[in-house]
Amino acid sequence: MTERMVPRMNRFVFVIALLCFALPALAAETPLFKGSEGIPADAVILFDGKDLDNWAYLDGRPADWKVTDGYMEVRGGNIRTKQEFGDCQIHVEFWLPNMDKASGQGRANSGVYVQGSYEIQILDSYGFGKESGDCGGIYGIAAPLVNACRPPEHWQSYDILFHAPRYDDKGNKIANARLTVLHNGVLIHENVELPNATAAGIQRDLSKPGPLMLQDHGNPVRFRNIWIRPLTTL
Amino acid sequence: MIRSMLVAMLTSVIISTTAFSQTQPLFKGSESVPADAIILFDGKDLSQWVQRGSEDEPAKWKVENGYTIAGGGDIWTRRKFADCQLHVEFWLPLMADRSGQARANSGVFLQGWNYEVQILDSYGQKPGKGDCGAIYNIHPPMVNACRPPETWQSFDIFFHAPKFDEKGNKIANARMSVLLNGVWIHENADVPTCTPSASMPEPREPDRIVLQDHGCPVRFRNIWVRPLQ
Repeated sequence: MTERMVPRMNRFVFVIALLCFALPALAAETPLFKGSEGIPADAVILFDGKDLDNWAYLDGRPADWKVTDGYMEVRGGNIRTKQEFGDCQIHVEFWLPNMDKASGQGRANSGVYVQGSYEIQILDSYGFGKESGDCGGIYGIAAPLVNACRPPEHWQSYDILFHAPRYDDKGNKIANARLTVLHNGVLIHENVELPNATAAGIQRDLSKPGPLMLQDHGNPVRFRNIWIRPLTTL
Repeated sequence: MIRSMLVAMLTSVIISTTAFSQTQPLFKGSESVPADAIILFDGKDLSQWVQRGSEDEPAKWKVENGYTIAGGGDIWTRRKFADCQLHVEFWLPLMADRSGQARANSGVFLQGWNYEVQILDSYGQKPGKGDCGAIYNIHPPMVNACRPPETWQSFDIFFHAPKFDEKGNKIANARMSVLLNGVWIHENADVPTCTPSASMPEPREPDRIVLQDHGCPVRFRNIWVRPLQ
């Protein structure tokens, strides 16, 4: 068949069809990295050290944690992302003050809440403790496999892989939430099922996407370099 | 009386030693390799490696500038591992005149020459079951997380060996989670067979980690492993 024989309309349809197939394929092949940068191109950058534009207090006021020297420090209550997420990969870095006069839950306490509901505990547990209330614990649900803490006054990291719980049309839960967590690059949770939210979560409807929340527990904990890769939408 | 005191002292020593070993910090400061890791290659020598298939034949790969280069046949570790967390960094040459499986091919095999995570220059490609990060021939990576050639890249691999009952029947498949350059590309992936061939017998015991020489000058550095459980 020569080009002349293809009716104009068919050619139009052909071009549209070609675009429909070609564009998603192209999108899938856009590289995540151009060189040695640390953050993949499909990540949403939640905090790059400069401002808190992506964050708010729980009552909706703009977040006013102290931002200085590329980090933020807790002040005036918990903050949450304005954007909400379902299944995702999260990178968070945190820094704990040395509170050697304090002990237990009073020692550099904070936390990262995924989907506004599931807290991965932040605490100065250096050198002791690997219960679910210690650093890296999924608070009240799962203890970390090992204590992978760095000493206070060092930057530490969580790399989190999260799957939100699933519900059927009638609102019955058909799959629990799941978490895999690396603490400073060390595996501390692997595909752990979460039968319920941890204490002090803010998400009412777990069938919907939720924010990432950072806890102000009254201790001057710092955060930097926070990014998230949405994996699927709920 | 003396004997019971001795027993009590000995018991307390054992308990405190055990407690200490459980709570010994994995990090002293900002170093990246945890203290419970076995360092397989620190850039200096291949003393932890021998030629694949041998017990004691020194690894032939060249070591220079803190890395080692594939050449002279596959190598494997002296030590054997089952469930483990493995960190490997690799660097791919730009082989612009080659394509497909001929373009900077290598691989990391777990628990013997049995379960391969593929290394290839797949930069910018839609990833298939033979591309970089694939659990070879079984699972393509969830996303193409490659860096361009001539850039250092990393795998963080979480491997669970297949499990067998006392009669030798398999009761659990091998499983793998993998991050490529910090991006999750496999999550608890089910690995029902060996990757070179589905008909190979699967390993029943801990076995060595293998780095493949596929005829391409692929470089490796900073390799460490943490046995899990």
